[in-house]
Amino acid sequence: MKRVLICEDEKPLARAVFLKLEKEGIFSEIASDGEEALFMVTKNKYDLILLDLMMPKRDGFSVLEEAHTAGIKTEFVVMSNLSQDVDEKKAKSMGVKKYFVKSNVPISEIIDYVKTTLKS
Amino acid sequence: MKIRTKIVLIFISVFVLLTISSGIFVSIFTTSSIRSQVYSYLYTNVESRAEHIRTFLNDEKTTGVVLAGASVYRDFLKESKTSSQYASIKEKINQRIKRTLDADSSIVKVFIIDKKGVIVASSNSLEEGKDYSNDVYFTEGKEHVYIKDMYMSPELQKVIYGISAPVLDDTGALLGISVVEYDPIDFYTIVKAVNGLGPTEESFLINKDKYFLTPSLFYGDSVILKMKNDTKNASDCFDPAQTQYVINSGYAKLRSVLGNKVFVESTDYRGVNIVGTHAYIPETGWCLITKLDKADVIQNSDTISLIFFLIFGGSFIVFAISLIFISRKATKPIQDLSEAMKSDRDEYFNIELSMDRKDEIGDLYRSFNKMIGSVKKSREEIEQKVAEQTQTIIEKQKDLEEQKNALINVLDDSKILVNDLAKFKLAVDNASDLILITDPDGIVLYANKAIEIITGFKEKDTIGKKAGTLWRLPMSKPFYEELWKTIKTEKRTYQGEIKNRKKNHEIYDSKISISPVLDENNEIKFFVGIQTDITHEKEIDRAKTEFVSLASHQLRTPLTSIKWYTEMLLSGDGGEMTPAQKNFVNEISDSNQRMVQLVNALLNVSRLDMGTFAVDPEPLDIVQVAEVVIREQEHSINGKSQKFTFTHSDNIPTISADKNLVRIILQNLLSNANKYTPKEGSITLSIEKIENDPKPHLLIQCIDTGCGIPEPQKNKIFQKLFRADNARTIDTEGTGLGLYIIKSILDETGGSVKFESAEGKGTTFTISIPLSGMPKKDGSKGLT
Repeated sequence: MKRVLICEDEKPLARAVFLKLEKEGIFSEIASDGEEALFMVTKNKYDLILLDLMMPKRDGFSVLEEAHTAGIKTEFVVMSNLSQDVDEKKAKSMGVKKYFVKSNVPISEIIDYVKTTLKS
Repeated sequence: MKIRTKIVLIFISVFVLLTISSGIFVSIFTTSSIRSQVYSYLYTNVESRAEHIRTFLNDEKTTGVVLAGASVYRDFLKESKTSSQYASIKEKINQRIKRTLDADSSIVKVFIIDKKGVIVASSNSLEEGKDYSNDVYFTEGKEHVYIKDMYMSPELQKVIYGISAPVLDDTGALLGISVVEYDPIDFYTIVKAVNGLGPTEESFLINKDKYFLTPSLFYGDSVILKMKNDTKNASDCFDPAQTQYVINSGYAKLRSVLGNKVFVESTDYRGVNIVGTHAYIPETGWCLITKLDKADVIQNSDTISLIFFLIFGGSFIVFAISLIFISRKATKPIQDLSEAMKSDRDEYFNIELSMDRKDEIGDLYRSFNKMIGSVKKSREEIEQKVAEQTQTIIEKQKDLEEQKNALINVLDDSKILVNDLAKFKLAVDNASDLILITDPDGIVLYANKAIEIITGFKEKDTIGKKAGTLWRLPMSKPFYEELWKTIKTEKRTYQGEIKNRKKNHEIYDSKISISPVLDENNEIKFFVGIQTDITHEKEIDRAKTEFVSLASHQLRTPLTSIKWYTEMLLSGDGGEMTPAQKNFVNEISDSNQRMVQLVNALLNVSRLDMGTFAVDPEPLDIVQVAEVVIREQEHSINGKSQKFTFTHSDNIPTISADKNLVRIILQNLLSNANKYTPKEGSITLSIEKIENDPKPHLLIQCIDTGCGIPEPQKNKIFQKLFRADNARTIDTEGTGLGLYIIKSILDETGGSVKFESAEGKGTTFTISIPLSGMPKKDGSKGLT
């Protein structure tokens, strides 16, 4: 069974993704801030991590950095409302392969990507 | 100066010199001789008059003695008053007194005093019986013949003097005194005699109290016994040494002993400068003074000097005339020679008086003629050479003149240049950016004033040091390599941004630009570095970025929530909905989508406005991008049953462009065409390559048969938030930002946009993007 971590402080959004994945039969957990995200990332093993960038306590970039330092190899997918080039480039330079601007994409597109990635 | 003039001048000078010196000598000599002559006259005068006075006095004394010895006097005095004979003898004596009085007009009074001192007979009978025992006539007259000094007679009311003599009997016993009193008029006459030395010459007598006894030349009779003559002349005269000498040896002896000391050069009773002398009269103790104003003496010598100079002047004129005449004659031949030389040097001398002269002048003329012969010959040769050389000089001068003009022009130019340089220096000195000039090794040669403001270091701290010492934060190795490679190897300008630290350790951001300045051999002469403090701009930039980030994030989060949940509802995640419910949720979804787009457009506009959007060109196939955009909009186009055509030529190259920006341009073009073209209208998108143009470009055209743009509003169509009236009616929800964004992007990336439109018929937008591509622009944000 595939295991996905949703790092998202906005509860409605986290729940929407959670519900969608659940419907697709994908088990997921939610981390509501950066600290929690980093804790869970280092503690548990996930097949994919959906990462918001703007989070309380610790932002997504910091989580990425710490995870790398801790030797975590799991793929991170960013879903953020930061739409600027700099943010996307920065995230990609830290090993992120996919960057979603949440407001610009239907949730189905994210779920499709997760499904596709987990399959491969 | 002519020889003749010289000779005349020399002679005249000598003559004048001699004359002046002899004149001075003669003048001094004459003056002193005149003075001694005057002195001599004066003394002779005083001496003779004094002698005269003494003789006169002695005569009068004798007269007195003779009278006193008369027998009638003795008889009278022997006779007692009580005797019978007394009356007759008194009569006799009265007659005798009368006779004496009559005999001499200067005798004013005659009287007899008895041995008791009482007047017993007098020419003035009223006086008889008067007591004279205390009078000097009696007291002195008892002993010897006595001259009583002049006094004012109260009885006669005039100045008189008298002589008393003792009357003795045969045994020599005193019987009485005989007195005769005189008017001093005779002295006036003696004293007054004039010698003719001058109008101020005068003589007068003074008594031993220095009172005038005779009239003064200047004040007349009034001075007699009333004014003192207290002068040096008087005091010398009464000097006991002198009076003694006169008494013992006489005047002449005194003069021979004292010499000129008997003369006085002093002031007289008037205070006027005088020359005078004096003689003491032992008989009465008087003093005779003779004197002359000094001015009179000088006048005498002046007259002589005048005569002398008249004679000299006359002889000078005669001498000068004859001298001129003689010198003219003597120098004539020389002058002729000189005139001939001046007039024409080519000719031989043929002056009649010249050649046959046997003297030195003749020799001179002949020698000159000989010399001129040879001079003439050589001169002809020289003249020819001179003519040739003159021609050369004229040509050279012309050249020089041209060179001079050229030089003046250069100087004028350089003056302008110097002024310009001064202006540039001032501008550079005071520029707000830090400007550094270094040598090829980076040693600072110049730093402007801004260095202190920007870095905190002073100019003098920097000059002569490595420019790198101003960078107080270590830079990465690749940075230095890149920098030096650019400016030293490639000899290009390096531009970049660095963080630096001020002297006070404050960190600041700066933009640097370092350019090599090359000489004519393409070698680096020096580097010019310009550093701008952009800390403030960076801060503003950061603030803007933060705002945009925040705005985007905060607005998008709720929109995302709505978007996803409506999507979930519509996809049945929340259970089956009735058609009406589905319809409503669709409305929510559409509105939300518009809101999402509006937020994106606003963010783009804010980035465009702030100039902070990045242009990140990459090799791009624009046709591919267009196809993606068309796919996105297909749904809307089909929804209005519009006829859509996309054409492009086959040779569209890959160009360097920002994918995102191109996408935004095409999206806006197409969505506008879709919105403002009515149902079943047509839309055509075409892409062409235009090479036959000064600026080869890709031409993108979007042609629609839409509502068109009203004529009066065409000029406002690219303004931010502007919406044409007809567009407003057709679509109430447009943002008014699409065309503004298109134009802003193209302006920034070297492209252009224009349109043609007819209201109600349609619009054609034409966009060009240069084949050379979009230039890279660093910026914090891309557009969405």
